[in-house]
Amino acid sequence: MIKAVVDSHNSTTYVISAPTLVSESVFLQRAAVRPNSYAERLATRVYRDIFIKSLNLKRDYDLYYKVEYGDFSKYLRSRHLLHRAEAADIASVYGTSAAIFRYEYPMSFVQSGLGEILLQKLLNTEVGQ
Amino acid sequence: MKIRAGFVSNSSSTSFLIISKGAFTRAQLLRLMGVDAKSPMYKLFDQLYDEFTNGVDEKVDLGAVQGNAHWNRLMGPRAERLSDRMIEKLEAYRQRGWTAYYGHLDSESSPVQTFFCIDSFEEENDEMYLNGLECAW
Repeated sequence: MIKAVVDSHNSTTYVISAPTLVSESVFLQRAAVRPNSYAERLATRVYRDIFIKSLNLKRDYDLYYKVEYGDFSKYLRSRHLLHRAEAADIASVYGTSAAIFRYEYPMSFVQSGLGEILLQKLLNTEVGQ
Repeated sequence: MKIRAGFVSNSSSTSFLIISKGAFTRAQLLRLMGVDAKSPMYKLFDQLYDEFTNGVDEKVDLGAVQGNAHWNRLMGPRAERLSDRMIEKLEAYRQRGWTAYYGHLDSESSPVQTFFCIDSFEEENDEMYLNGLECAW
């Protein structure tokens, strides 16, 4: 699931659920870019923005917040101020996700149909609204 | 008096220089950037080609430039923004008779153009040179 979430500042962030954790090398293989090219450097930046720099909501919930919030949906609503419907939608994939990332400050091209389809292919997941 | 709540954005445009062996083609750009039709990133760079061609302000046949080149006049209305690096490359590729395209990208256009407007890059191979170094905030 790749879900666009608009926050109270009208900024778009993405919540990305990954069924499996993808290594950087596998991600770059999927990108099918030439080694040492601009496209490879760009794909590497996208990978690191998501898998290294983004908050892993599922991991944080499991490690630190499970005691405080009774379920994942409540954690998303109370801690991350997501709307009820969005939180419920994201919580529905909790059990089948290896990680659920909050990808903030996405590169501008991601915020287009083209960019979301690109992420879908690279992450081998689906775009949801 | 007007009061604005929230973010105030600062739109911008930045210059690029392309120097190609013959006419600048989509295939040249895709090879330079490292993607082909099999890549999921293909459409991103395919659209970038359209953004570049739409953003060209001046096209110059470098092989036809005679004597001391006055790049600040030759490269069109935005020529005062040519960097030293761009002029260095124009001089170098003039010897080979390649073709230069000088133009700009805007930050308040398509999401793809916005990204490349604010990214900074310089790429070169045996058929093309691309300078997007001015594209930085």
